[in-house]
Amino acid sequence: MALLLIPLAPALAFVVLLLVGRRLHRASAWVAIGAMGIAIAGSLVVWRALLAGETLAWRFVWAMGDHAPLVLGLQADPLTAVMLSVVSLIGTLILIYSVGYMAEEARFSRFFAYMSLFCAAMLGLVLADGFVLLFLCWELVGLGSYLLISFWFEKPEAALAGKKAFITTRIGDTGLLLGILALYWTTGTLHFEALPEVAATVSPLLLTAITLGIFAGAVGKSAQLPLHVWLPDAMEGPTPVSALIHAATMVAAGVYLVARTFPLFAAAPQTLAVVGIVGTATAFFAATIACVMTDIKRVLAYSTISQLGFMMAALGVGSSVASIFHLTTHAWFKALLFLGAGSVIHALHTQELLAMGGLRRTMPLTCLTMLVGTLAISGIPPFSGFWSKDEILVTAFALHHPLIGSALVVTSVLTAFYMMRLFTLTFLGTPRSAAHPHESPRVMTGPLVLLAIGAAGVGLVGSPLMHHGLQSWLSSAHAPQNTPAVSWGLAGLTTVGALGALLVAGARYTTLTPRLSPALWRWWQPVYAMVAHKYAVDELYEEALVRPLRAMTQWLYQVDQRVIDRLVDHSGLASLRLSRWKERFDRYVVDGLVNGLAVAIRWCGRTGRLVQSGFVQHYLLIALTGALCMALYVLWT
Amino acid sequence: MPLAAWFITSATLFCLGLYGVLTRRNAVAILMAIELMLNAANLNVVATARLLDARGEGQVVALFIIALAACEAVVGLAIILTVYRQAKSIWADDLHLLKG
Amino acid sequence: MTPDLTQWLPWVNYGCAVLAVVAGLRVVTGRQLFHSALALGLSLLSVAGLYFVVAADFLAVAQILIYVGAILTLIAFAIMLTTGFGDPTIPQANRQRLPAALITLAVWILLVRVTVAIPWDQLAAPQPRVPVATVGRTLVTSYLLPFELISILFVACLIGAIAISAQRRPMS
Repeated sequence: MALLLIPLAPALAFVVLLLVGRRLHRASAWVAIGAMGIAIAGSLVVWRALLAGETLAWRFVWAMGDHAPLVLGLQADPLTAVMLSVVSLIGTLILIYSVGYMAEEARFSRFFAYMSLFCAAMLGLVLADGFVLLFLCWELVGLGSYLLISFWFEKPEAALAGKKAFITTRIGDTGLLLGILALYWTTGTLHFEALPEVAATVSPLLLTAITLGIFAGAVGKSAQLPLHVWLPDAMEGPTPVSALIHAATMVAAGVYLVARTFPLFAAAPQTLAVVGIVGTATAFFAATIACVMTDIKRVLAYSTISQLGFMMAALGVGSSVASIFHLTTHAWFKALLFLGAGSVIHALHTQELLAMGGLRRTMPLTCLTMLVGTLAISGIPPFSGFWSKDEILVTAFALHHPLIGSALVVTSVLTAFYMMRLFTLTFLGTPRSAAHPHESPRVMTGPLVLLAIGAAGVGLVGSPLMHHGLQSWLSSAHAPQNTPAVSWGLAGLTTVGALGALLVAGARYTTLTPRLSPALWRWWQPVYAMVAHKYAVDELYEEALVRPLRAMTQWLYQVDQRVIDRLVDHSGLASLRLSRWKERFDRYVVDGLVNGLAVAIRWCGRTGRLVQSGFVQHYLLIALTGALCMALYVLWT
Repeated sequence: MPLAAWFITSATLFCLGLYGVLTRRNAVAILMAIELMLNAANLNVVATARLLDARGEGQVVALFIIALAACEAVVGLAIILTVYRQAKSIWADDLHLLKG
Repeated sequence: MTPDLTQWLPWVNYGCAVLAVVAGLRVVTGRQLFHSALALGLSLLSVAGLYFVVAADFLAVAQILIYVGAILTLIAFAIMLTTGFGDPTIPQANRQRLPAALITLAVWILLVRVTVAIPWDQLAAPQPRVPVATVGRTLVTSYLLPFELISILFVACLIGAIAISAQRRPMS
């Protein structure tokens, strides 16, 4: 029963806040936070139960199908437990932060209502025991994302960004739906616990098709190439939204999906290859763009895309355990980075890196926590990012994917570079803005500190210091994987590379003076322009897809106007003509009958009256005629 | 003359009188036609009396009829005279106060 | 020696009948009112003749005296008191001539057919002649009550006629 309570509490908070939020004002935040607190408690109960060796499940019959009843349910295994704690803990911290960040917002309670909806859907997604409930929560999560991205819908960019996010993920969701339908049509089951058996019995071709479909959904949700275009635009939403949804949780749902259905993927090596290639390409591609972005949130957005690429690559080489480990650490430090950026934005009211600088004196706490985050993402030991990223790199080389491994190494160096660039431009050097910033209130810096602690220490659970406890616990559940031995050489190489990148970036960006000679600049400039334009992917989509579709809608509109409306108009005219005929009928025939009756009666009266002429002789004649008739009648019968 | 002929004569006279009552416009002419009808009835009685009558009852009845005709003529003419004084007309066409 | 008149009897019989009918026709179709009155007199006289043929001589004389002598005179006085001789161009018959003629014809046909259908000769034979004394005796024995009532009727008629036609004199 505790299982059901975990997603139910935020769902109830959503309903309550929709109905009475306006009256609660500031208290609505605590309703949402309280619901998430219940979720945390629930996840703790789940941890304890699982560690004690119990199995948790909750089922109910939704409908009677053709062959078997349609059963929905919740389940909890180690993978779910890890996801639950990530979502509930980080979600709660972000909600507390939002109390300060959204303090001047007019639609305060509506924000917390939407956040509750999102959290409920995300919790339900990780608790689902079958594709039906998973898909339901998948779509709900997308809805929550849409509502929150376009929260400030008065801004046209925000509305457009929300639409773009929804439509782009929709494309991926279509693939997911096709995969689910193919699975049901061939095997008749949609439960996760049946997947290992499915993987063993279904033909490889079919398995490849199904897994490709499922991966398509993950590509959309986790912003991989080529469906990554929505995530940078999604930064139009409030920063807590970016932190929760587009860094820590929703975008991780794609990774979770592949991890959950990993038995299928493990049996379809072609799909795994695709996953690996897509992930690696995305990681490198996004990292290059992040190096040249000047909006603080866009840098972090591309960073997220890149890190998700890392996770997908890990899945592609065959280790779902490493991928989930990285997901966990990434959730902590990315949330930290986003909230820190939000703190800076809140103080300076700008998102341009070129307008920031020298904030380490005026916002010391933010600066310190951001430093922790930067070091974590760059993979500097002993912070968490080091352990998880290294796990992925080691696995890639150990499972014989040297190309992927090398590409990921280069990408990690780039990661350190652009993160240090961001940190330097924001906090170091001389202040470039005219505003007088001050440190954020405690309700905002508190979560920052807690997240920093997490970002620093979470990795230790999966490190060799604790004998890879997390990984073995995860793999014991369903996908047995061996954690390869630590490769200190690789670890040392990447650490040195990262430190070098940090120093280079720090030195370069402390002041903004250009350092390249004009000759080099002429060679570098087109490359730079291309990357800064995000490789023109958006423009490509606009030309190839959006414009033809718009033209088709125009054409269809004309068809509707000319053909369909004409049909409707004609039917209207026909009925008008019919009604006119009926009116005529009514006037002449029906009224004619009624009036005619009156006329006939009047005629009878008037004619009958003529008999009463007053002349006795007339009366006599009539009487005589009557008598004659009677006499004739009597005589002849 | 055979008996049937008597009856036919009387019927003819009666019908002539009937025609006159129905058709004539002058009130006095109507009265004359009525006298004709009464006469016809009288003739009928007398003709029948030839068949059945042993004590002259037929003639007595006929006598009564003549007397009645006389009374009726007197009263009728009195009425006509009065009407003529009031309405200044003896045309039956003008006497239509009963008109509905 | 009286001549044998009985051979003329059928001629007189039919002649009087025809005369009565023709005169009656003149009565109802005459344009001049006075001529109609005279025709009426002729018709009445013919009927009296018919009475003579069947040897109802008392009745015949009574007919002549009362009908022709009194009633016809009265009618003549009434004619003169009202319109006099009248204008011959005024139409004497009203507008229902045709329907009345048809109906009357129908009645005549009906009566004639009924009459002809009955076998009169088989019902009874002509009775012998009734003398006047017998008529008188029957009048005052079997028909005494109607006789007296007729007297009262006469009185009532006289009073009624006077009352109706009396000129109202204003009370002064």
